[in-house]
Parts: sequence; C-alpha cells; structure tokens
Amino acid sequence: MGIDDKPRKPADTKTVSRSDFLSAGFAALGAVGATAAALSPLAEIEEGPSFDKFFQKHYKELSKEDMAGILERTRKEVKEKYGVDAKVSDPQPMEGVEFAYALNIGRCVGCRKCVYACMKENNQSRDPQAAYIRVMKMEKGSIDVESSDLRYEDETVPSKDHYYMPVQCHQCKNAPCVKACPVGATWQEKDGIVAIDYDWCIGCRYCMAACPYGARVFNFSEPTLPSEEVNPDMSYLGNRPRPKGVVEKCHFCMQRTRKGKYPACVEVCPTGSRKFGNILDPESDVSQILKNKRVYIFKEEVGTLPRFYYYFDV
Amino acid sequence: MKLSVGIFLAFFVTSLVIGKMGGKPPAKKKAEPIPKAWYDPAPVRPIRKALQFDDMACGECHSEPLEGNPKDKGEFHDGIELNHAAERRNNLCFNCHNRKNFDAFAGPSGEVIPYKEVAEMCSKCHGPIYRDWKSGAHGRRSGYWDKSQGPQESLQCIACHDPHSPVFKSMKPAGAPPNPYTERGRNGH
Repeated sequence: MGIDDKPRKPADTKTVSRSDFLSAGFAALGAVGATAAALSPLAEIEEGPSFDKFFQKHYKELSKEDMAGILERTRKEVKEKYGVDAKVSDPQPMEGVEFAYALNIGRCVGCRKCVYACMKENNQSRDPQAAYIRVMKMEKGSIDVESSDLRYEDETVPSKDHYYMPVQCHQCKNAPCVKACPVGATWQEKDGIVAIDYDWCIGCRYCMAACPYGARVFNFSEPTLPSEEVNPDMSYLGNRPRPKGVVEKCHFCMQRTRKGKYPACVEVCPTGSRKFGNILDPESDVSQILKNKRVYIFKEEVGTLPRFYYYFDV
Repeated sequence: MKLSVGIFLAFFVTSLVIGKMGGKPPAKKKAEPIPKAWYDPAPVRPIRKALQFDDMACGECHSEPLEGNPKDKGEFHDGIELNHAAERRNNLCFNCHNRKNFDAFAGPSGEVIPYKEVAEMCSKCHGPIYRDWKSGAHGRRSGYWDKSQGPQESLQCIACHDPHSPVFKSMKPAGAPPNPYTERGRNGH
C-alpha cells in the first residue's frame, strides 16, 4: 500500500445534476472566451518575430554565419517595409582608433542643420520626431541648462546675447546607461562608441533614466520614415530602421566613421564648429584641440568621462 | 452557482465586445519629408574657382598694374561695401588684392598669392585663427577623417566669410523640435 490508501468511492457513485453540468459548461465557455479576448491583441500584431529572430543570440555571441544571416534578414525586412534595396553591414571598430568629438561652443550659431542631417542619415522616425541632437539656446554668461530654450523659433540665428549648446550622446567611457541596462543590450565598443542592439533591447528605458545628457530616445510608437528618405547605407548597430519599443541614440554615424568618413553632423555644420577624429592620433583635429584649446566637459562632476568635448577660442 | 454563471456570461460577452472594438490597427501615418535646406551641406558662400566680379575674371579688365588712390573703388566697383575689421579699418583694396596681378592676392610685400591659397593672405592679419585653421580647430573639414581611406577637404576662409564683410552672417534656423507634451510631430498630429 502507498500513501494514498484511503478507500476510494467507486467512480460511478456520483451523479452530475443538470444544473451543475450547465453551470460548469458556461463557466468553461466564459473562460475560453475571456482568454481569447485577452489574447486578441496578439492577433493584431502584423507579423510576429520569426523563429530566427526570437531565438537570436546576443550580439557578442554571434558567429560570422549568424551575422550574415541576420544582415540578410534585415535587408529583406527593409525591402519589404520600404521597398528600398539597402546595403546592411556590420562595420567593426578599427585597430588603434578611439573616437572623440569636439564642438566649438563659441562658433555654433544654433541653425539646427546638424539635427536634420543626422535624422536623414540615421533613418530616425519623422513623426513622432526622434532626434539625436538637441540644440539648447543659452543666455550669455549662464551655464544653467535648466533655463535653456530647446524650441526657439527665431527668424534668424544667432540671436543677440545668446549662445547655443548642442547636446547628443557623449559616448562616455564610464557610461551610466551601459551599467543600467539589465539585459546587456547596450555596451561600449573598442573605438568608444556606445552601441545598442535593437534586437536585444527590451524597452525598459532604464538607460534613459541613467543618462545625464538626455541623449537617448525611445520609440513610443511605430517609427514613421518616408520610403524616399531611407538612407540605404545601413549598419546593424547603427542606422538600420528601428522597431517600436526600443531605445536609440547617436552612434557617431558608425556606418560612416568606421569607414573613415566624417559623421553627418560634421559634414553639414555651416560654421565648422563640429570636429571629429581619432584621439589616439596626436596629429588629429581633436587631439590638437584638446592640447591647444580651452575645453569644457559638460556635467564633468558626474564622472561619466565623456568622449565629447566643448571648446572655445581664447 | 447561478451567480457565477451570470458573472462568467457577462464577462464573456463584454470581452467579445471589447475585442471587436479594438480590433483594427490604426491607419499608417505618412511622414513628411525633411526640407532640403535643413540638411544641405553646401557651404554658406558659393565656392568659385577664380577671382571674379560679376562672373568675369578680374584679369579680363585689369591686365595692367593699377596706380592711384588706393581708397578709390572706381565707378564700376561702387557697389562693394567694405566692412572689414573693427571701425572698418581694413579699407584699402590692395591690402588684399594684388595690384600687379588681379587674379591673385597680395602677400605682405606685394607677393603673388594664388586664389586657391587665400588663407595665406588672410594669415597676414589673422595669425591665431590661421594657426587654428591649420590644426583643425577652426573651419570646416569634410570627406574623410582618416586620410588613408579617402580625401579630406578643408574649406577655405572665403567659403564662409565674405572678405568684404567677414562677420559670419546670421541665418534662418531649421525647424524647432515638437513639444512632446502638447503636440506630436511637426504638423501637430
């Protein structure tokens, strides 16, 4: 005899009354209906993630073949959604290169061309607008960003007694966003770029709360991007189109800079206030600036060690 | 028991109705393209290949060296207003133009400085800025930061500064970002 040695009733001794049967039946029906209704939003998702995408490994664990498959899949997705033949690549950090950025705060006139050149280059959502660069209009003599104006609509810039301070991701060496991410979807690459894998991001936005520069943008709704404005030169960790529910930010235009080119914001700046280069090369623009000019580090006291420097002419 | 049946029934019907109501996904929005002027990388001044006035090379009229009052602009160039340096101190044409070779600029002692090397001429007065421009702290660079992979271009002084009135001109800014608390998108939808 086992534990269950109580005498059992014969199975046929209990008879089911009609009302019990009916109520149980309705209850079951109700439960099925409720479950179906609760699951119905799932049916509205136009297309769930494919098997490959759902079981995709972390970026750092991907083999070359895995990556080739993912790039091909991304290319197909872009073709399907935008009708554009994109060139999707996964450029790697260059040997002996660490990027740094310098911005001449005394020369910037606040024209916001960098904001839109960036948006065009990096396939950001147009509506709602996701911008990586924000230009703060500051009162001369003040460094109080709390009282700055982000949405100035002056007829012409620069306006009298003001200066402008553009802010974007500082690609910090001691990046709080990287520490905050609970799933390791964002990390620092060898060349200093803080990258995000949009396929790994769970959209918790802890990184946004951690960033002292407000550099990260969340896609609260499905990003909109006109097909005719898609930049077909895409990188996996960079400017490939993002889905709803993930965080994105400036990545120093890695699809350009890892091939030796300047970022889009540097190319467009009409005042030449934006400087970019390899900090490990002592002759580069940025090295020379850090050596010779007066440099200001935004929120230096929070200890993030940015790779983004403001400087001015003295 | 009857009560529970009733609750389940009510829940079932309500859930069906709610399911139907929220059934259709919202229509896809069409985003506006960004105006070209907002991201046009062209420098603020046109880049010319040679010294010109009214689309004509200076040398076409001035083949002979010019003598006379260096402040006299002459009738033909009356439209040129000189507003260079504090109190318009740089008010002599031949401080910059070469009176013996009108397709070139003048060095410190009247040497010929070719049009393309205008920065050498500007450096006669603007030493520190010239030094910054050479090292990359002033002015715009474009192309490749890594010169081993492609060409790098440095814009010349006069791609941004009008030499007759060199203060950088004010411009119309590109659109302000929408306020996420009051509107969505540039057009408020």
